[in-house]
Amino acid sequence: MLEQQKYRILIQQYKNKIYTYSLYMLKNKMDAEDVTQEVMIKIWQNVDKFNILAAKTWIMKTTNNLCIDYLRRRAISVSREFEIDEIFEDTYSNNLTSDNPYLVTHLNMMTSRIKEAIKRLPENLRSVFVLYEIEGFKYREISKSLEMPVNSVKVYLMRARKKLQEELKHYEAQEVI
Amino acid sequence: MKRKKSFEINDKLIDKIISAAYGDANIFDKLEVYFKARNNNEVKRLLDSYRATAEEVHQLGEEEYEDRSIHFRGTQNGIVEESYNSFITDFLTIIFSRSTASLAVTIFIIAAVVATLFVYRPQEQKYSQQEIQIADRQTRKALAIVGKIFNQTQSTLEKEVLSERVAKPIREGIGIVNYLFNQGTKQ
Repeated sequence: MLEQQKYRILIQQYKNKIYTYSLYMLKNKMDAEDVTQEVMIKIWQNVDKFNILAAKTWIMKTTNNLCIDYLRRRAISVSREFEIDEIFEDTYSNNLTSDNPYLVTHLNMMTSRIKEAIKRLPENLRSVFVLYEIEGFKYREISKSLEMPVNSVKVYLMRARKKLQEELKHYEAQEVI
Repeated sequence: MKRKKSFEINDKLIDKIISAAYGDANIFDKLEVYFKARNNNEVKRLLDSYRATAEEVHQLGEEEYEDRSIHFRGTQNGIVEESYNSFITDFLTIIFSRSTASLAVTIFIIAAVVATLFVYRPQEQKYSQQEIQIADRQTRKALAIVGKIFNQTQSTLEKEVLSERVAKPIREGIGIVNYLFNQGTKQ
């Protein structure tokens, strides 16, 4: 009974974090959903072994390891159509409540642009960037989750920010052409 | 015409600009970047550029994981479907997911305990010598009454209960038994 309650709390709290991280790392909704399911099963299997307050880094470490396994196991060959579909879905299907269709589309396109730029970051930079900027993790938590020194986390984050800026410039240049 | 200061923008300064733009630089770095941005167009351009990106990044929220996938609970035998609509779960999730909420609840509980200790702390009463003497006298009187009642009870027990209600029936019983024995020996 207590285990079930603990499991529910953990899932409610971390399901979106796991899914978001997996999505950015794997660049594929279906794989991200698979990883999320696997992490949830692992949480259930280990629910009696960890403290609910210290579960955050364990969960993200597990998620990261599973994402790396997925990336190693098979070279992700996402078809161009699929990517386009997902971008289209993200860009035009979000239910933003605004009366101005131009504004809605513009905002959605900006979001898509930044998401795509993040997805183009190198794997090691992307993981730190997503955990810090999107998931709101602290340096120490990222260090534990990704098993790297805190200083490396800071260096990777700075590199990721610079790289993202370059990617966006590149994207803008492409748009102009 | 007022000419803006020009100086070399090194990697260290760029790092500070980026941190300031993303909002995690310390106050001294922020001030340094702010003043340099006022005096140098290149610094300002960099800061604005990174700040725009940071704003866009910070607007990105977490992706929503579809509920259909989480209505499952693992068991030793496999996966069993289950609904998650539980008030307790939602409540505990709110408490545990937000550190500020946990902190607020902890502070509230500690404050409640401390307040209770202070509010209900037993106060020391001070009595005058006269009051103490009166109380002493009353206690002696009360004890004397109790002692008297005990004495009365003892005499009642000895004179009325034990001799009349207990010893008398026993004697009568023994007399009957003796009579029956005597009858038996005669025959």
